[in-house]
Amino acid sequence: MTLDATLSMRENTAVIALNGDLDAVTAPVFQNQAERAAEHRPERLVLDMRQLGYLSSAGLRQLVYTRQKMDDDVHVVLVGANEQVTQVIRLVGFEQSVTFSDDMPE
Amino acid sequence: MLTITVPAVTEALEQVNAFSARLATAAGLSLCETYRLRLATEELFVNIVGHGYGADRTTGQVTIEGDANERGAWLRLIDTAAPFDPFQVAGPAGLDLPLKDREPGALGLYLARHAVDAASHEYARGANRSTIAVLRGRSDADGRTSHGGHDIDRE
Repeated sequence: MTLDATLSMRENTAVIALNGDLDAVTAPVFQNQAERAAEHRPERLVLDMRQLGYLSSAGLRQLVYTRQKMDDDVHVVLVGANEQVTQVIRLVGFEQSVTFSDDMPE
Repeated sequence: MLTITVPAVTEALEQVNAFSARLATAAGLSLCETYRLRLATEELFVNIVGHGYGADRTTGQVTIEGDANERGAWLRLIDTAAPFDPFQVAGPAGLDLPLKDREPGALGLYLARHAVDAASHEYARGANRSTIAVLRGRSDADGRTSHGGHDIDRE
């Protein structure tokens, strides 16, 4: 299993596209891009999960780290998370800190 | 019954995943059930690697055995680290906190317990034996209603 993570900046929004499986082995791939994103001091972080097949606690932990490296008012948007990934995120109560979206925000 | 033994290193997760996927296929688990079996297995395995063997991980091994039938799939992780019951750990604190105020981590075993339909642990003959099962047709729309901790009704 592999993970590709691609960072792009759109004005004050950092977009990380995740393609593959985010687990204990691949979490550093996400970590690298997340740290780069944090350096840009974005106002919004968008995680494009439309091609993400799997998420475990390793990815959740990285998401917490990433969020804490950013300003308190940063808005986190999760795009296109599949049913199982969404269940994992909800189970740990992250849904109150993020916005789920079917489509990429403007 | 299938059995594999892998070194207790995170990189062995790919073999562990292949093992759980094989069981899921043999049991005819749904996509959601297959995900739950993989998730619980990963979280238990990673916990053994990182916390069970810890500094001793270079010599540690994890044996996984499992089987599938028409009711579902079960799987058992066996390690010789210190006695530890992953299903008796207190749940993580602060699940209602915003991400910016959270302590990272401590979610893995919580996920593992919630992902399975049955879970049990025993320490016998110098080894931890953590057994999980995912049953067919027990998935629900909003996650797990069963919180594990049941004895596994194996045949």
